[in-house]
Amino acid sequence: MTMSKSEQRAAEILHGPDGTEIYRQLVRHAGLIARLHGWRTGTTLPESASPQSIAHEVVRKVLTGVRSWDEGKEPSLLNALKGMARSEIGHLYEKRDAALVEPINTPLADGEERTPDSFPSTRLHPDELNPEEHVLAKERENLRRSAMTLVLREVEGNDDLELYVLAMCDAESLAEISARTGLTIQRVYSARRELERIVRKIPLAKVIRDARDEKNL
Amino acid sequence: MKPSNEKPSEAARFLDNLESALTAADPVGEELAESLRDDGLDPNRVDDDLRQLLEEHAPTWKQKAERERKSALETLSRANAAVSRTRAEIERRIRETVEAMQRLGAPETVGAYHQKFQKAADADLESLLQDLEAQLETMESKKSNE
Repeated sequence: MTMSKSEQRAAEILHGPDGTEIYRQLVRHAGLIARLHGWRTGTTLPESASPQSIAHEVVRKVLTGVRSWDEGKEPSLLNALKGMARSEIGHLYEKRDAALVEPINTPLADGEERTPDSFPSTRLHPDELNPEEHVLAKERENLRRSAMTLVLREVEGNDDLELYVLAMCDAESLAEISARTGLTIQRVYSARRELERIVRKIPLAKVIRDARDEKNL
Repeated sequence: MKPSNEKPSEAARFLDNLESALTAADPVGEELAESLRDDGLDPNRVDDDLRQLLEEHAPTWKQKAERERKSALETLSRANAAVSRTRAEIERRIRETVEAMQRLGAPETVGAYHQKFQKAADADLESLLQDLEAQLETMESKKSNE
């Protein structure tokens, strides 16, 4: 089977001197996205996926033409692959979420059909969340708060990191953070490295446990 | 889950910013390898995974040539194994197969069928043996089903 131009170009880059680094960066990226998704949802990657399997799938799809890389739109292969990995991970979690929220207009096991009429609030406001979605949204907010608190607690007392975290909310690049905080670019870079270490150090189980404790207070 | 109409919370914005900050810059070299190790991954195995992916889905001309060479070698060794049987050995196996078929009730003509090929070339004899072995297998399986 012949390869299309974009498949050939992706293969050429991955075979080249930067190929290994690009693939490692893609795996790292998938790992970070998956970790933060895990914090937000309280679950690990669904369907037994792993950061490496996500990266593998994305590259396989690009090499076999299932997904195409438009070099005109996104000149960096790594950025294109990162976007695809993010969407693969998002898709896996969406599928899981859909299964968590009981569908309306579907007969239940006892044969009774549940419709929006079963929930007066959804009848009045069709765009509102149904009761299951409300519960899930509340749980998710508890998880997010717990994750944020854990990160902030770890950062506390480290001046560079505290400044970095404050600035990262409004700045898009390390240079911008450096300009806002007055930290040298080297110190900004070290702070980012340290923050990544902190994020990797916080286990999902701890986020879930703290979210549950918070709810029970 | 349908998106909530509410504005994202402070915690949601914080995590989004954190994700952007951490994924905006890509570490390289040893720092990158260290990140993978922190995630419990072996950087060398990650590299092997890419190598396998490329070999399978986008082989270089060298890898393609190597694959074709290996496949040709396999075909050749299979052919050699068939050719290396001596004529006497093939004849002995034909005889044994015919006898086994007769024991299972094949007509006497099977023997004559064999004699007809006494003067056949080695390749034809090999092909006759394969044919007879297939017939014997069918007879044996019929017999065991009775």
